[in-house]
Amino acid sequence: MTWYGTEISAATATEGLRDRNMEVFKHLYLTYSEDLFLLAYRWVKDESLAKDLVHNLFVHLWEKGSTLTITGNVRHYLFRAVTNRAINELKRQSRHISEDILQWQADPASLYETADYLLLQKEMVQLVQGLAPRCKEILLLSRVHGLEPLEIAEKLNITLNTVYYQLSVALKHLRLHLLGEKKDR
Amino acid sequence: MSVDDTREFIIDCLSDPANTAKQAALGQWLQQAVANRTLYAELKQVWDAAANMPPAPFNMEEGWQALSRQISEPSAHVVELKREIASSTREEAPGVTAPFLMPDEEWLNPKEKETVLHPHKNRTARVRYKWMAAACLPLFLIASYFIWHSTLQPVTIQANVIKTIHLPDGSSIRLQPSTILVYNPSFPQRSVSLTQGEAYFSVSPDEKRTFIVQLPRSTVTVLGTSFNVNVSGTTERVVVEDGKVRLTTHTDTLILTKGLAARVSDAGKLLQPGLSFTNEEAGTVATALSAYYQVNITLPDSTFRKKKITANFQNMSAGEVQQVLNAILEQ
Repeated sequence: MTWYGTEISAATATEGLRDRNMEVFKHLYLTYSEDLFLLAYRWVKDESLAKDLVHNLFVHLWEKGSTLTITGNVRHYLFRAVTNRAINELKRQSRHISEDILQWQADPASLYETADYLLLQKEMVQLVQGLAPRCKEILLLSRVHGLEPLEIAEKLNITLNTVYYQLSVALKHLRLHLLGEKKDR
Repeated sequence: MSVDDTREFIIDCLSDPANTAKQAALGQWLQQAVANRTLYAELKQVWDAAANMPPAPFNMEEGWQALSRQISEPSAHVVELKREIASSTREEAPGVTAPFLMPDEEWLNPKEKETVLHPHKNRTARVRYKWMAAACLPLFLIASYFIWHSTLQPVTIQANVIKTIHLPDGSSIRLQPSTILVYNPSFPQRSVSLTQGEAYFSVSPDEKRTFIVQLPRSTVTVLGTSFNVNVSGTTERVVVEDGKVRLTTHTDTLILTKGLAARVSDAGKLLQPGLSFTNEEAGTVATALSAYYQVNITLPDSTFRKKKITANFQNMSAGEVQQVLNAILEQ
């Protein structure tokens, strides 16, 4: 499946969308949808909303393909598009729009940082899937759902020490694989 | 502290930033050694990054299924439904006449189309309000009856402008104006019927299901390819752009590959253009045949080059063509 890792040129994408070329369209989806999801999630912090934003963006590309012209880098174009949609949605829901997202939108150089960010996210998600179920559950409750250790202990009916221990195991695992060196002292 | 205790200590501090006592202890510990600061920085980095993580990996397969389902719904299908609903309420549905296929923007009440027909499927209006969902329910029941009803029945498309339809298997058909195409939108078998006009087909490969285009007097069977079909008056013509199709009539069968074409004659026979020569120089004929078959068709002897021949090379393989040519020249 490495074919889908290849970037698409702006010309190919524009032409493909104009012609409603299903092959090009699918290629776009397979190449960029995961990154777009992760970026959308970064902004809205809501898994199903992020999925919807990506879905709607691709529906738009398909339906309005004849009116679109993509210039420059296709990846950047799509990232900007999904970010704009995220901002609009946040506004529509009257949610707070963080400095981060506005800063990102304004700064063209931010696209380069995004590549690193996405790589990290993808690796993390994979690594977390590899944790033991209870460990993973506790990590997600803490980091994704924002529960404090005491709340987690109460919710799962375990001791506070267990919570700390499991979080420690999780972080050790992540740090080991993400930061590249075997630093188990 | 042991390594594990250290980590737990750091996590304790990270997860309780408001606790001044803990933060003070942390500060002191950090000052003690560079190694402490490094460890802390790394764990903090992972700790923060984990907060930005979605709970589950992105399911691309599922996402693609949902997406291709939504974009495959042909608007003609939607139009057909609207027509039925409109006539059932005994209203003159505005703009619904034959030919009734129009670009989406011309449809009056596009919102109505979205909520009535696809209240669940159309995700471009992310419905957050419960009252709207409740109002959709009775409409959805009506719509779902018609959706169910019409997936059992074929749909006829008569385009008055160039129109491309997308089929559930990923194939697409570009119809010229005044083309009549009949098919079942839920596409249980990959089969359509073209009774008039011209269409360009781009068929998704599917080894398990052949794609069939039924013409008035012939049938095109395809695996996955792109080709053009033209039915006008009593003539039917197929031109293959890519891949391979099988063209059959009651009496004849022909396999056409890239660049080849055939038409159905009045008598119901399959004829391939460009294979019929009247009083042409053999050299020219050989060149033409070579180009047609993408194989070197040669003359037995260069002295035959200017010899004029009249011949028809219908329904032959390249090998047979060579043999026939040789036979004609050596008479």
